[in-house]
Amino acid sequence: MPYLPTIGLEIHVELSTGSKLFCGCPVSFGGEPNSRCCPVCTSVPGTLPVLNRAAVQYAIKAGLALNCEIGLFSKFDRKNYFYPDLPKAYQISQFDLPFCLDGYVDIELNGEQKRIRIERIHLEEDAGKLVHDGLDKYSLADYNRCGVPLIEIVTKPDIASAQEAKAFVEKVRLCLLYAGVSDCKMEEGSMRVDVNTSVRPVGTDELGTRTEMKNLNSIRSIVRCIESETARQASVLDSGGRVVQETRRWDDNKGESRAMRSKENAHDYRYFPEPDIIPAEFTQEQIEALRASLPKMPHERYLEYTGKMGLPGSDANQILESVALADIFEDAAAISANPRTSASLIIVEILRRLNDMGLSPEQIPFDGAALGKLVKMMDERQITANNAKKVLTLMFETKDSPDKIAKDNGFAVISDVAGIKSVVSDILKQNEKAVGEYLAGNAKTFGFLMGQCVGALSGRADPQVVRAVLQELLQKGQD
Amino acid sequence: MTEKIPLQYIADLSCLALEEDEKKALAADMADIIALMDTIKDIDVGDAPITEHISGVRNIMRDDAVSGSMAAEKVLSNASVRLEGCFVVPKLME
Repeated sequence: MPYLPTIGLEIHVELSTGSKLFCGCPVSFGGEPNSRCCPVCTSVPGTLPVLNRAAVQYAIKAGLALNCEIGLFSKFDRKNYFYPDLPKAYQISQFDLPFCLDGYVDIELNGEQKRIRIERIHLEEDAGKLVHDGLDKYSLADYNRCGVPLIEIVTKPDIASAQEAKAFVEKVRLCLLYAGVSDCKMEEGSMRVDVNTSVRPVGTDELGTRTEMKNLNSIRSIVRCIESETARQASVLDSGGRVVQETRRWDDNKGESRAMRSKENAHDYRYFPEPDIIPAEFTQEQIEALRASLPKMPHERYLEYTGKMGLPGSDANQILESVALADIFEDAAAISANPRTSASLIIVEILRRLNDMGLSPEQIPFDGAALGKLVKMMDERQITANNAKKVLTLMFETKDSPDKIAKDNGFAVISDVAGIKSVVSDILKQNEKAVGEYLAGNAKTFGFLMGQCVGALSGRADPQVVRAVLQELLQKGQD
Repeated sequence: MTEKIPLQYIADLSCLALEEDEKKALAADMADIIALMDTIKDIDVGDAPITEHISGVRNIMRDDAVSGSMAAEKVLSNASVRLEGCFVVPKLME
């Protein structure tokens, strides 16, 4: 029997504040275990957590970037659970009054648009990391991650395929990157996804029993896990069984999941209002100020790039992958008034160099204005396309401006015809034999002479001008 | 009253292993506490808004400033067993 999947996601995103949610310990990745801890985040009795204002602002910005309503009154709640990844035995989270409610993201798949609704976004503290590998009866607890500010984005069950889930997560990731609230590095765990999946027979409305797959940390594993779980549930139902509501663990190496042994009552968290954290209250003006502080979101930029700037959609998407690239592109396009050449230099030349050098777009050592200047020099024929590439290479090495590099390295185009004529006439003198052959009617020799001239000018002259000068001087020789 | 307290369930949630006599004593204590709290139901609160936080204050927040952590050695000084700079805890998952 054919089945349709119904999928909802919970996306956990660590916010890129400098310090943790409730204490001054730094937020960073890696380092020695338990080296970023204090009495507050290791839950020493008698400590008092105090809310980080920037984390609250980031959570609200995330909500605004994802089209949410922002609650003007919000509070924290205590979520009780007994697991050694949080030594308090509870997590400070938000239950009934989260910062953000009722958002949405529009995704596009195969040319069709679909709206995925977001139920809520709440702010909470991340838990520590437990390492289970290699030890039989014990786990190792590293509390560096304890108290790192985390938002949880909960969708409505609006997602109907693995590909829709992929498009949604990619879009959310991009929006949060542009909002500047997280680095969204899935491979470092700063963005993790829980997937809730159920299936129902085609033609029916009633949702099936769902399972939850926790902590997926790549787009690829999200796609594979949904495909695998949809097929597993369908085969359970087809063989007359029933799907059990459970949490399952995804094994990315094996490409399959298995049920986690979980206690029946694991989801009874006995929430109650958190007495240690004071509620937050905002005015609409404060929310609007945060909204105004957000940069343009990627979908707005896409429309601009493909609209008045005239880029193909695939080029626009490639640039929008990175905030740094998009900013460089926009500045370069503004300075040069030539978006297409700016884009092609970024996509073809800059991305290739970044790849070769193992750098990320954030590490590009020059700004969009410098790139725009280079494009302008090309457009004004101060430099040939070929030499522009050499200048670009040197811009990565020297940090000098493109016009200085062009001048210092003799890349500037010789624009006066007299200058070109003197070089060409020297070449003709040095190649009397070839000139003789040409004059005797061997037209192929022209290519050879042209090559000599271009070589001698080392790309500093417009080839069309060189060709005209060469033809003129040879013509004179014939006369 | 004590039979209404789901004591075993609460003990399970808290990962507590309790003896029968402890359960009885705790159930009696909790029944007393709940009975005391129930007296609130008798108070006429009229249209008073829900109290979200007893302090009545709002927006106590700190600036996003790093103030430094403790030395890992000190963090671990309360650990009964440690290994590779980590707290060693009983494995709670499969």
